[in-house]
Parts: sequence; C-alpha cells; structure tokens
Amino acid sequence: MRILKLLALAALLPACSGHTVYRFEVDLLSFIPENQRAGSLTVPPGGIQVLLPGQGGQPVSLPGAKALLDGRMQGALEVVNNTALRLTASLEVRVGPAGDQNLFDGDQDVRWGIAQADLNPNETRVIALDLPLDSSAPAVYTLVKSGDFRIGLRIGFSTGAGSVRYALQREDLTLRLKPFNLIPNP
Amino acid sequence: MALLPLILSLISLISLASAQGVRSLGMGGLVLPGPGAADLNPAYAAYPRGFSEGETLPLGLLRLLPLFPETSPFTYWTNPQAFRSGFDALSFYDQLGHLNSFLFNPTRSPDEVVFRIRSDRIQVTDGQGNPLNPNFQMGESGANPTALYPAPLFWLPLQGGGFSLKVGPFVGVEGLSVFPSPELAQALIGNNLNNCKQTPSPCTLTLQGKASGGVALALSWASALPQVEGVGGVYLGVKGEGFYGLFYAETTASARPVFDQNGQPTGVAYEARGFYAYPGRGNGYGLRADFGVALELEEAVLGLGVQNLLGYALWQGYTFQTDQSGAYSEAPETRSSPLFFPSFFVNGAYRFKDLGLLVGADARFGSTAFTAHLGGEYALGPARLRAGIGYESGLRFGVGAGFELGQVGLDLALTAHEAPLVGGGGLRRGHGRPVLGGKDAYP
Repeated sequence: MRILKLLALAALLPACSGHTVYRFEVDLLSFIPENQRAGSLTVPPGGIQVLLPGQGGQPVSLPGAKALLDGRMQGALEVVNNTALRLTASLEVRVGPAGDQNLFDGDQDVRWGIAQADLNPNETRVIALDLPLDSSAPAVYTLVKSGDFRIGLRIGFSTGAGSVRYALQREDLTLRLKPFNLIPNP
Repeated sequence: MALLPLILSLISLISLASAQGVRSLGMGGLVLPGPGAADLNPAYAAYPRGFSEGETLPLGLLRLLPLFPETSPFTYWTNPQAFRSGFDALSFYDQLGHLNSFLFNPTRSPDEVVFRIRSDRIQVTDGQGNPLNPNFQMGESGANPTALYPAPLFWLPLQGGGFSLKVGPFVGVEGLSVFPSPELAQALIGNNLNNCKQTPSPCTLTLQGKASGGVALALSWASALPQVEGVGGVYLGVKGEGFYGLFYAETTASARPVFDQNGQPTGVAYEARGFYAYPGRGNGYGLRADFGVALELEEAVLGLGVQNLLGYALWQGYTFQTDQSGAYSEAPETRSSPLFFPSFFVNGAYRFKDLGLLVGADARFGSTAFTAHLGGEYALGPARLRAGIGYESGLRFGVGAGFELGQVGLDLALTAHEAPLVGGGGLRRGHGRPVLGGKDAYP
C-alpha cells in the first residue's frame, strides 16, 4: 500500500512545485436541475423559503483538500417582486459535513454567508453574494478542508401577498489547493 | 523523514534521461560513434576517440546545492519553508537528467492548474486557458521484467584493457507513463461528459511505471580486427552483463469517475495492480549478452549494437492488487523475462573534410522506446556550430556552439523539446533553454 502511495505521489509531483496551485472551479449551478433554478412562488403570510438543491444540499468530494489555501463562493439571484407589498429576499449559503442530511437545521451545519435586499412592488433586483473562504470563516474552512462536505442554498422571501419570480443565475465555488503544503517538516 | 523514500525514487529517475552532453544536445540529442556510446555498442570501446566527446564536467551538480532552491531537494533539510515554496519537481527532474550541463532555465511546472467542473463537462487548463494534456511517457514501462535494467550510476573498473571487468550499482525507473483513455481525452478538452457516464466509466486515467535497483557486473571485450585492404577498420565488441536485483516495482494504476443514477459525479474509483520485490520480500537476478560491430570507411563510421541479444531475468516477489472498493491483496509470484528481447542501436557519422562539416544520425528501437536523431557540426576556426533534430517520445530540436580553448572546450546549447503536461504542440509550445557545459578537449 505504501509503495502504491509513493508511486502515485511521484507521478503527481512532476507536475508540481512550490509555486503550483491547483484551482478547482465548480459550477454548482449546473448540478441543480434546470427546472429548479428558476420559479414563481406565491408568498404566504409568514414568508416562504426554497432549498437548493434540496434539504441535503449538494455533496462535494475533493481529494487532497487538506492542501486547501483559500477559496470563494459567488452567487447571484434575480428576484422580481410581483406582490403588492415591499418584500425582503435573501440568498444564504450553508455548509455541512458529508453525513448531514439536513443542512438547514443548525445541527452540524453552519452558515457561510447571507445577502439580502428589499424590493418595492414590481421591482427587479439581482442579489449578489461573494464570500471568501479563509480564516474569517473558520468553521466553513474546516468543513471544506475535510474534503467531504455538503453545500446548499436557501432562498427566502419575507411575508407578502402575491407572487415573486426568482432565477438563480450563478453559483460558483472556487477552491485553491497547494499540494506542496502536504509535505511534512523533516 | 516521510519524504526520503520519495526523494530516493526521484533520484532513481536519473537513468531515464541518457547522459547526453551539451555537444550532443546541440545536435538534437545525436549520439556519435565513439567510446561514449560503448554502453549501446560494445565495439566502440575499441574505437579510437573518433567523433565522440571527451570527459565532461558534471556542472549540473551545482544546481543541487541549496543555493538553487528550485532544483535542490536538499533545501528540504536546510530550509523546509523555502523548499515548500520554491522547489520545482519538474525542474529538478530536468536538471537531474542532464548532470553534464547547467540548465539556465530548466522546465518549469505550471503556476496554476485549473479544473473547471460542470455537471456535464470537466476542463483542465493552465492558468492562461491552454488545455493541459495529462499524457506523458518516459522510457518503456511495459509489464514484465527484462535483463535490460537501468544503466549503472557509475562503474568501478576491476580490470581494464581489451578485456574489461567492472561492477556498478544501478537504480532507476525504466519507464513511467501517464495516459488518459480516448474517452477521457475527449471529455477533458471540454466536450460532453455523457460518454463517461457509464458503470464502469470508460474515462480512465492510467499510470504505468517500472523501476528496479541492484548491482551489476559487466565483462566485456572489444578489439579492432586485422585491417583488410579496401574495407577499412572493423571493430567488434561483446559484453556479458549480470545483475543481482534488490528492488523491483511495476505498477498499473487507473482512476475513473463514478456517477450516481442521475448522472452526477459522486467520486473517483481507483484500481491498481503490480508486482514488487525488496530485501526481505524477494529479489532478482539476470544475465544478458550484448554485441556490437563498427565499420570505418575512410571518412565514415557505421555501427550496429544489439543490447540484450540474449538475456534472462528472474524476479521473485509479490503481486498486489487493489480493487474498486479499496481492498488490498497480494500473493508471492515469480516473474521472468522472455529470452529474446533485444534492443537495437544503429548510428553513423560522416566527415566532409574539405568543408569542416560532420554529420551523423542514430536510431534505437526494439524492446526499448524508439528514439532517433539527426545532426551536424560545422567547424569554424576554434568555434563549432551545431544543429540537429531528434525524436524521443516527442520531437526535439537543438542548436549549439562550442569553443576550443586549449585543453578545455566550452559548449552552449539551446534545445527545444516537448515539455510534459504542457507540451504537445511542437516547437511553439516546446521548451527552449540554453545549457552550458565544459569538457576537457575536443578529439
């Protein structure tokens, strides 16, 4: 087993150096079925929320994630307020361990970030999210660094009367890894 | 200390790159007739210094000093932080393979490798958007041992003369290759992943490698035959080599993506199998016979060398296997080589005396990876101008210059060859670099 590991490392390293960074750009939007990316909702009193892609989020498995340097998450959601009232719309990103079946109950999972905006009746806005992945979010950083995690989105609308249309335009997860960081001290 | 075996295995790659001097590099890697080619054709041991190089100085060793963190693995012990931020494995391999020369700009690893992952496609590029090709090959990594073990790191002469007996340690990688299946190659240039979404997926990345180490003993004889009128000089050489093998490893490992029933990638499955031996877990031995003949016709020299004309190698060790679930199993096994598995080497040179021009060509084929070179050298007073083209699992070009300064010669060469990973586009994407070498004198 050890020999195998060694050979794999030796093969990986020719493409590698102290200045080589592996950048993974994951287009998470493409993993969400097309019919779920956009929709129209009637907002009941008390508000409503949409979980993408479902309660368990999207599992992400990244070998070698222990070499994580940093990363970022960028999202964009277009909202059209067709209700008669002022509406608050929010876009939230949550991360949990691979085994967590519900990313939105606060049990093991954490909030990476949230963006929200108030919309007047008939107003259209894009809610953008740009979250860094570094020491400013230690819990998220640890989860991502484990290499096996789940990531999910929550779109929320505050109380209203009428319908809203929403369309998720972007969900890009970028992770930068430096394999040389895996080399232990002598 | 976890890195020590790794560094050892890196050092073993030394034998992959032939010890080409800077003069040879300037001619595209051409091997000229002469004692320098005696490993490939034993007859050259008796051939007067003719065309090949004198002794070269191992200037490349300078680059292994911690002064050059990008090529020195020793920085790991002197300054681990500098090692982690500065060491470049590709540059190190490159310099190690050319110890006779100091590389001004060894091949550099890409600064960035970008994986763009969508649910239906994966694209791998360097930071500038050029696709990376995970396909490179060095040496011959096919399965089964042969008596053509890596060339010894050095020889200790026990007896010289027409009969020579020498002993030397060898350790090296006989071949290493990484290649994607055609389906994966298609998918990686940005095409649809749908063809990969089968179980098991046909999109695989395969790594093959073979390495061995031990001690070799060589007994050789070479001599000029009596001069025959009208034919010129004929030289013959035979060599018997035996080895006692301490280390052997050969492996084929492949990785393939796994998709769930909705066609979404859920992970990667690995499979590996191979054979290994090390002290306490097996060993090997072998014998082989090499033969060579060289013919001198006025200003021309032609040579034919056959390595492993007859050979036999036997290794006792263990086969191992891991399946997709990661379960590992191994069993003792004995592996042997075919008896007749020769590697041929032909080369020749012609000197246009009136023009001061020397041209040469060589080719190696058979049980080793195919290589061929064509080059020339033009003498202009004390200066030498060189150019050549070669094929070594990819096209390579070389131009060079040399200066004769009394007993010492100084050589410079600029070579372009396909760099692994980022290569594949010929000269434009090839890698040009000047190298500097010193040697004792021209013939």
